[in-house]
Amino acid sequence: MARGPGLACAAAGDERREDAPIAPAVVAQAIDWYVRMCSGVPSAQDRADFEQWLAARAEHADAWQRLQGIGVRIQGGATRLAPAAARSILTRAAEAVPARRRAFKTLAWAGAGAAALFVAQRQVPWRAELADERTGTGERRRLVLSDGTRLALNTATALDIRFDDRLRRIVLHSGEIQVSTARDRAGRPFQVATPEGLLVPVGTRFTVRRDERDAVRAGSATLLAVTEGAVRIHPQDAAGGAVLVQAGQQARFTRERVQPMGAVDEAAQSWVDGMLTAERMPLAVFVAELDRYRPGRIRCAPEVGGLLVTGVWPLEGDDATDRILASLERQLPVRVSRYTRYWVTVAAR
Amino acid sequence: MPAAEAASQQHVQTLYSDHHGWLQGWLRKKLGNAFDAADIAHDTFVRVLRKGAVEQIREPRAYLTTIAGGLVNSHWRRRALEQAWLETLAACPPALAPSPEERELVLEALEEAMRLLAGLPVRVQEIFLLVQLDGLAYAEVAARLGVTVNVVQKAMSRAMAHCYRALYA
Repeated sequence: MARGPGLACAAAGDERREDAPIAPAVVAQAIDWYVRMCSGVPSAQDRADFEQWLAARAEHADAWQRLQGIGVRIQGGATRLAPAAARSILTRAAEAVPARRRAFKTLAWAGAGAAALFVAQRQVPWRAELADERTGTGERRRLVLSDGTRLALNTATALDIRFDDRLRRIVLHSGEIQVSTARDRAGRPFQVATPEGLLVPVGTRFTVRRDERDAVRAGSATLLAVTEGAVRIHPQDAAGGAVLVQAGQQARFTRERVQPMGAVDEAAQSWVDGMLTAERMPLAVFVAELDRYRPGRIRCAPEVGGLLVTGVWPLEGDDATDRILASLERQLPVRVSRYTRYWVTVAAR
Repeated sequence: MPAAEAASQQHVQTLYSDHHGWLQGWLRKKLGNAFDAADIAHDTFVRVLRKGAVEQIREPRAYLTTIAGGLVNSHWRRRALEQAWLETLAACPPALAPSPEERELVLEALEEAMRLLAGLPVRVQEIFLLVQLDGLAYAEVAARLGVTVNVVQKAMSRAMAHCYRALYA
């Protein structure tokens, strides 16, 4: 059975079968690590300690892989639904089921062995899909990869995780990710590929955003913002070679060339914390941002496009964009017209 | 191996003629409904056939009720999911609702998630899902549900241990 890419790989020289039983104490340790790494705020020390634990024995890596698989199974149904909807369906259903199930308690226990067997057989297609991650419009998600690298996926993002024995590679097709790389114990280099080129970080935290229709040039472009460390950009077709972007700097690049964009726009990173932030942002730009988080289209009438918007809004919840639009109406001399849920115009009042 | 296959076929046939009627009666009592009982009895034998090694079954009725019991649970999970699905998506505009094919895929995946979580208190499930699906940090979950971060952490550990047991223990 092939290992899912992006998941743990066994430490060198320590052979064990991946389906071999794992000692309960190791499972308990792995769960402790999982819970710590998912907290949203693992410290650098945590990450270093985790690396060490993961590398110590192949059994550790296998336990970690199984736990990652659980996350994938839980998230499997949610990739096509908004997370809030999937969560609501699951909790409602869970509330409805136990009353009817009580009579079957003993049976459920007796059946657990058979069920586990069946799940094990069904595992293969799931693993094959493991590497492809998607978020829907308005959805955001966080992942912790086997090497400890953390990914935050913003709205409408599609990426593949391709880890093998030589390379850790993320392929970003569309959308936006924040990457906090971890040092790989196997020394495999880390890369983010977009159709515009290749990004090679040097121990680091950075955001990559890909726009199919770049507002400035009407072509596709990738925006890189480096928060920690440095990242090297290799544009797909550039003859001149790589450009290094240092912490605090950002750059936009196409297949042909790299254009420095000055200092990192901190406000543009706030989606990672579930917030949309604007600091004296022209309304036209703000509306284009908001449009990313909402199914359908939001348009801004040219006569109000230059109004400046300032504020911080939560992106949480199904009606987040509606709440933000309502707040625009309160803050600015604009009127929001909804022709349908999918066609919204912001114009002068 | 056609000979072995034929022998196995023979075992399945014997199993079927000896126990199918009994299993269907057992299921009817559990479900209170002859149609679902017939469906699940059928699915039980399909599954036995797929698993193979029928000749090694020592206690056929215990074996059949084990498998059928799992299918009954799955049946109820599916019903509860479909109901919850309707309630949740009734609030959405129709254009947002997935197509019928997609609905099947999503329900199947949701059922797998639900089966893994079955048996956990609903509150623990909710915390686990807020982290896994919504990607919230523990502090955010804690603030949202009005509990401490410690409660969130404990719920996460408990849910992971529970899912692990369901899959691998």
